[in-house]
Amino acid sequence: MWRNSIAVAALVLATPAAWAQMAQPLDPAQAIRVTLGGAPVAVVSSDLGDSRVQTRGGAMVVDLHATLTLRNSGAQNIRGITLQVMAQEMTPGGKGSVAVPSLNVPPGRDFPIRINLRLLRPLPAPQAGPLVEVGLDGVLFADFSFAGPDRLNSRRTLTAWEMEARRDREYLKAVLEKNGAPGLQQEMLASLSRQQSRPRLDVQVSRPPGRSISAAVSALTGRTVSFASLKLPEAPLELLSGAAQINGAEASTPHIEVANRSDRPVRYFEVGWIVKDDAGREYLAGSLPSTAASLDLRPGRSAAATQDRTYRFSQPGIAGMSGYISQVEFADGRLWIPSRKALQDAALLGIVPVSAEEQRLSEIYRSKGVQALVEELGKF
Amino acid sequence: MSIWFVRHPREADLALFAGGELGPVARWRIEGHVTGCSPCRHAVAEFFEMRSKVMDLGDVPHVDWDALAAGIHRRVAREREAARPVAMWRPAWGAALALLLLVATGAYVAQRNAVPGTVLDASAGGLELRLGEGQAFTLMNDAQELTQVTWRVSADTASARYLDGETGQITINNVYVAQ
Repeated sequence: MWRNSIAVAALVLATPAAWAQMAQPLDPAQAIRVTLGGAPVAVVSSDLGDSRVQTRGGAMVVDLHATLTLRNSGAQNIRGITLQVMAQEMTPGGKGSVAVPSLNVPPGRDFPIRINLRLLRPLPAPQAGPLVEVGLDGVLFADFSFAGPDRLNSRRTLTAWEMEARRDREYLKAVLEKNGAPGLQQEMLASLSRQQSRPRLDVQVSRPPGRSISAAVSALTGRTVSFASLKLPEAPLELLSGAAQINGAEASTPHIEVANRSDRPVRYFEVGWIVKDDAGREYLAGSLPSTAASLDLRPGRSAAATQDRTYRFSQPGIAGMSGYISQVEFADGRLWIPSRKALQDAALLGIVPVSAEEQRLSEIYRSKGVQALVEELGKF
Repeated sequence: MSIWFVRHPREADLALFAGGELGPVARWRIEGHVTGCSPCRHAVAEFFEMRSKVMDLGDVPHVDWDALAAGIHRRVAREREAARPVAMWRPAWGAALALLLLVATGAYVAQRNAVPGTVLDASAGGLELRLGEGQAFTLMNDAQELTQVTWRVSADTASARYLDGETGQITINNVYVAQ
């Protein structure tokens, strides 16, 4: 009798727990909210595919695989778009975005954007509101006009990607004009080869709570490695110096100093950061941006930037580092990016990833052939 | 789906695939399979998540123990050379000892109450922002081939660019840490 009662009680208690462990169907209205209010793009439809919400132990796991179909309701072709993705409860610590550059969407035309995210958070689940909110951060049009709140600096990033796209299309058009389809084919094969062989490096950035202790240990056991400056002759800034504390596969507190060699004030810059391993392989580790919130770097003046971060690389030994000016934004909002020739002359083409547009065009060549690529270039 | 991709891969191979440990042929075969097999794709996603957690366990700063030991030996040798016989107890030492205890206690309490660290992780599988042990926000790269993914980090941002096999578009994921 007692045994039966205990078994029934255990079953009653265990059933909801077991049920909670199983995958539950995702309620789109509760899990995700898309608001693009007032933007020159409209949501036509959203498909959540095989998205699901699960509970595991004391945590909830949200797997979201959403395809949003948007419509260009503006008057210009869209060249790029950034959607901000914010997860409830994660907002104090961070947020994400999904951007699609290298678009060419005419007014009135629909286009898809896919969002694949996973959210792990402790239970209980929030009682009100969606778990994930998607909103517009910015849209860039063919005439470089921009719309959107720009909380994530999408104007600058989308503009830089579009400038890279135009640079690389012009280059490929010049190759086509000079050497014909065979020349373009050679160029694409070289590009695909670079994409295949470019060394990759997993990176982890941390701002550990006990960083003073880590810094003390690092100072005791590590060594300071200086940046070699890769000079791009046309760059408006010059990398004067740079260094980081290296300890095995970790680099801490990178520090750079640049000087403005142009005749215009600069409000933002980025230095491309290349690390070399013990075998002499070079990897693009990341970029070191200017850290001042409101930089005003006047012509002839210099500025320093220090990042209180620890970067951990998947490659065990760092033998050396180098840097180059990879992006500059002037006070008037204009951008500078390196020319293709400058990247080639500095032997950076094999280290720096190809542009988004070159990746897109090389995929067209790979999947459809050189004639399709010629037709695609003809659209611009 | 080709016959190459029909059979479900072994679980061990899915785990190796999630960790980027497979050779090119096996990787190609599993990529082909998981593209059309939802359960295996979820298994890979779970292995990827597990791998991230395991990597968390290795969140101890790298220490070059040999160099540390050599430094300690050098310091002890220097202090031995500089040492001279102690004549008598001085009251200042008591104050110094009390101060040392106070600092040590403060450091211990601060360590116990520290806010969990924020970690940004960028790899071929995706970008992950972790807040302590219980929260993670991951944007996954849905590329068909590893070589179609590039990623990079800066101080407060991790970015990954990939060719979306479904739409044919270039997609760029970013994860930001609040300043």
